[in-house]
Amino acid sequence: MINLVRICLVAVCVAVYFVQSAIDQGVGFYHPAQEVLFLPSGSFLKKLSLGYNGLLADIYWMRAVQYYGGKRLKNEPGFRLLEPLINIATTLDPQSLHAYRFGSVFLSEREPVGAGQPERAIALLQRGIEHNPDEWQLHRDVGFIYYWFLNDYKKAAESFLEGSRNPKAAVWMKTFAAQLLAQGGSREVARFLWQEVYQTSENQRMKENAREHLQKIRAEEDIEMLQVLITRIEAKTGRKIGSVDQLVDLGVFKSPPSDPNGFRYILDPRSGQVGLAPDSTIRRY
Amino acid sequence: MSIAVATQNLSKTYQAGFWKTKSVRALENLNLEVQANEIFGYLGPNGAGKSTTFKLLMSLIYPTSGKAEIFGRSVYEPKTRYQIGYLPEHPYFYEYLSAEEFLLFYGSLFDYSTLEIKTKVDHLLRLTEIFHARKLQLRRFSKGMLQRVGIAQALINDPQIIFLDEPMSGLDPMGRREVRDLILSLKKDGKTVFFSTHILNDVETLCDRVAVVNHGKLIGSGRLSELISQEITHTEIIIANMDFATLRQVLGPDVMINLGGTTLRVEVDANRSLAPLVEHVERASGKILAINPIRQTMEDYFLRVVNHDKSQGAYKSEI
Amino acid sequence: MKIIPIAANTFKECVRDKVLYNLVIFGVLIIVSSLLLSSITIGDVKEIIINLGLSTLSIFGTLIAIFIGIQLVYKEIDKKTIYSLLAKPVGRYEFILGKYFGLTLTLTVNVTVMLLGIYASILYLQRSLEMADLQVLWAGVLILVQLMMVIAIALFFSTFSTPAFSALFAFCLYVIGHFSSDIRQYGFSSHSLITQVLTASLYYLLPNFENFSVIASTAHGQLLSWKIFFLSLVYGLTYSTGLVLLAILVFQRRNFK
Repeated sequence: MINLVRICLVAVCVAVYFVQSAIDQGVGFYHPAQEVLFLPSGSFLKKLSLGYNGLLADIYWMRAVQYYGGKRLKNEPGFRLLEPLINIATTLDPQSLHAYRFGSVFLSEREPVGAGQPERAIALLQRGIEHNPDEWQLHRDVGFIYYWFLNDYKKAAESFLEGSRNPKAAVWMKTFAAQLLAQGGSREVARFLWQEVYQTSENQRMKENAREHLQKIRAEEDIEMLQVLITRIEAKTGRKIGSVDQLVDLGVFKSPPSDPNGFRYILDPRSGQVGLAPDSTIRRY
Repeated sequence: MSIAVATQNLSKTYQAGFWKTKSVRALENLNLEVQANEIFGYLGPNGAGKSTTFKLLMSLIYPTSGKAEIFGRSVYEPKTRYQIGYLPEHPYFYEYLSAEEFLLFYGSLFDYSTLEIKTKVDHLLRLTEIFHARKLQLRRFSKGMLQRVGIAQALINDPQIIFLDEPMSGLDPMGRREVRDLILSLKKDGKTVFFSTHILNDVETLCDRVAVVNHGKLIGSGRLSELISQEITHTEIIIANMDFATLRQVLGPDVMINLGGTTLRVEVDANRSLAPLVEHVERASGKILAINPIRQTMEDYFLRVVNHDKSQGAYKSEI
Repeated sequence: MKIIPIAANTFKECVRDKVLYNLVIFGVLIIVSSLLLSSITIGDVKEIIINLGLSTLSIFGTLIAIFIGIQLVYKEIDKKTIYSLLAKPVGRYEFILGKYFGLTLTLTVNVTVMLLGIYASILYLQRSLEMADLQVLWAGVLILVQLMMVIAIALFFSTFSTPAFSALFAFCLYVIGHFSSDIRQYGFSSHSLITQVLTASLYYLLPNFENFSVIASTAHGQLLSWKIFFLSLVYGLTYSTGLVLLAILVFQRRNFK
């Protein structure tokens, strides 16, 4: 009899595994995250969490990151749960700077990388500033969004200036504000900011994202340089360059110039424009 | 004559202590045999292993080694328990049930029809004289009444053998009398009774056979008539109006004299002639109040056997 | 089958427990009081009735399941009522099953009463019931299955642990069971193989109560997918069966000192 019980127990364990897997397949990867749409407001949840709001904030933060990662992995568009998840996480723990930063960047990024709503990102950061008036990094993040995603250099510079008033702020904040106003669209500014994001982010996704941006900037520089080079050579020799490989034949490069991801640059013979290879993995957005 | 209960090297060792490293031998190699239709007394000091034996027989605990059978069947088969009635020590039953509900519930655990159970329950309620309280919740029952309920539930299946763990404990003399009468009537009905007790007086009047355990081991067993000699061994004389010293002088040094308030009690060997003694006492102006024959009692046997066991140095209940 | 009389007896025991009565009455009061809210708050009152009603059902049901469940076996051993019971021709497994079904029956009655309370409130509000309101019943069924899991957990601990520890473990499992998928997600983002294996094992071993979190979506009028409903049902019943089997194994080997 006892052996029968033991066998049944093993059978049950196996069954539980299969049923749970079937459920997971049915509800999808984001099932725990989906309930966020039905949750009461973050402040109510905070009261409900009976002092464990920090832990709960971490859990929602983790869900936000997993949700975002899952979406990217499956190349699924739309990040409608991202904002509610970040909102809950930051309401439960208003001091979680990493959540503000992550949320603001990926809310702003255009599809398919993010939700494409930089205004929502600004609103999120403003809430963060309200709760953390002493955190200069939030001003930096606001400035960043204004600069890169909204192209509002004036407002961006204002934010950097605002942040620089905090004695704990990074040294570059003040001078950078001025530089921004002067050279707004320059690549140096862009590279500097993305470099800063890359260095100061601990989150892997954020670092990845920043790296991709930096690579794009590098590629743009390369393309510009190649374009200038080709124009000069054409002017000197009087002959049209048909492809980038010709530059190797001419001895300008030892090997065909490639973008940071190793794809060759292409010269479109009709338009005479240098560009990325069609299959290049460098971001175009 | 069939065998009601048979144990073979039944042993139980407990792992005690915080880290479960200490071994306590509660029962060691018990070899017991109870004949059918006899009253068997199971004796021993506190902590001797009596309750452990009961629990092993009821398969409430499992032995470390050895086996036990009731009417030829292993105690671990549920079928065995159709023949058994058991009254545990300090019985306690579901307080939220009434006596009637309780007995009906227990009755339903056998294979009787609803009508059969109802009939049996009614009969038992009357037998144990708690019929008037049958609708009362058990939490309102006194200890004596709970004992009766306990007996009722032990008899509900008309068992062939009834196990009673200290059935007399906590009862008033009237209650004890009733239990004694019950045990005797059960034997008359052809049943076997196995009970444990401290009250050796009851053993003398009830049992056919007894067994004595101490420190988990069987130290004596046999027919009552074999264990206690029926012959008169001593004579007891109660004397008044004499002082100790005078009596001592009269009787000599090797006679036992006890002081008992205003009287003196003397114990002399049964073979000794009493006439000269009586004469001496009367001459000393003493008064003989009583002359009683003394036989060896169960108590004597018990103490003898336990002390013998002690002197053997068999204290080792712990390893 | 000796299970039935034991289950019936357990049911009687629960029903005669004053604590149970108080909890049930209190629960029904809360549900009905949601009608008072119609004068206080703006917004969908029906949503509040369903939310409050099903949440009360779930919380009180869990409290009852844990606090009575942990006593089921322990009390019988502690009060020694089990001695005379097991001396009867009853298998130990019949005892465990009887106890389990007895408490399950009690909670079924409890859930039914509270569901009636919810429907009464909705009826009072709407003056009629729609087909869509049937979702509340299905949600109630899922909550009952979840409660069956909680009973199984409490019963299991009751076979070997004191009420204090049993309550602690049961409560901990209840809380952790709501975050089991987070544990697994944590494992996904980790680089260590040990962590991944550990978190995956925990995910399947721990009771996954997230399968039953339908209260909020039901209140919002979201329809439950039949497939998920049945799968969750099967999950709950299977998991409960596993724990009851485990309890039987533990109980079979117990020595009652």
